[in-house]
Amino acid sequence: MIELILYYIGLGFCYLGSLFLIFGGIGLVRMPDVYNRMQASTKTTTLGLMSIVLGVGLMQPLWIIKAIVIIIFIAMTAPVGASAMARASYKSGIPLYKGSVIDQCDAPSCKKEVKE
Amino acid sequence: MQESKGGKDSFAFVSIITFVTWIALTLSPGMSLIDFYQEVFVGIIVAITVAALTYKHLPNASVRYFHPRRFGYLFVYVFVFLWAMIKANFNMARIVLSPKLPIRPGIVRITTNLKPNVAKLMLGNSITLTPGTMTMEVDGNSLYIHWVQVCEDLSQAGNIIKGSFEKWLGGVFS
Repeated sequence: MIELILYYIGLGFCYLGSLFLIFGGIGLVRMPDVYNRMQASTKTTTLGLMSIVLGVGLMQPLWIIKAIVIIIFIAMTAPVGASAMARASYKSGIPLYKGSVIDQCDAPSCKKEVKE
Repeated sequence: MQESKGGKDSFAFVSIITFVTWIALTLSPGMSLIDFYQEVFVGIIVAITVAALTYKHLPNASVRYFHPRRFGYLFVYVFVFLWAMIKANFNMARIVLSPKLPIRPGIVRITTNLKPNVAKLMLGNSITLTPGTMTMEVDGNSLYIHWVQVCEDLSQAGNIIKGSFEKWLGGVFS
């Protein structure tokens, strides 16, 4: 009985995760520039992936510890990759979206290295 | 906080972390006792090997990080973080699905008073996963944040972006 309940809760998490991944995909298409797209994809894919892995862990209770370890690794590594890509885009001179209101980025390590 | 430079302290820290990760990855409920002993035995060997190879590169790691008070702060931080992350996702879903695409992007600079590099990394990671903000670069004690909906009053930007993360992380890494 309890296994069946866990199974359906896990299924719910999987569907929720897929929903977030779909939102991430829509965001990737609709957002205007690289940085906003990175935002949309990072947040939604991280939580989407985490809830899918948790759902699998609940559907197969023997895997729950492994699932939690994987979730911790995802939470620690996904944002680092996003930051690195955003910084690389900024350094290579990709302009911000026209409607941007402010650009306070003046770090020496972020100086644009544009090749003419 | 006095920093130890490599040595036994970081060796012990790396071994414990590696061993716990190994056990968490290999342990499954309902395994036989002999299998369990086997995993513990191999785990100790792996942990000591990994620690011997890497402890010199992690001079600031220390068993002092296992103080119970830090675990208390970490526990609270995890829940604050999860809640912020769920909010961030619904916020992002709302922005993405609304027909007008209500964005007002920009890059702002905020400062932090956290000292250790690991704490800054955790703060940057948390900011990336919370509503509408993404860390682009950390330089000294300034963080450069790309923000989807920049607020009107920039002097409040730091407080809005960091929320209560800084307080809890300060407790974990003080």
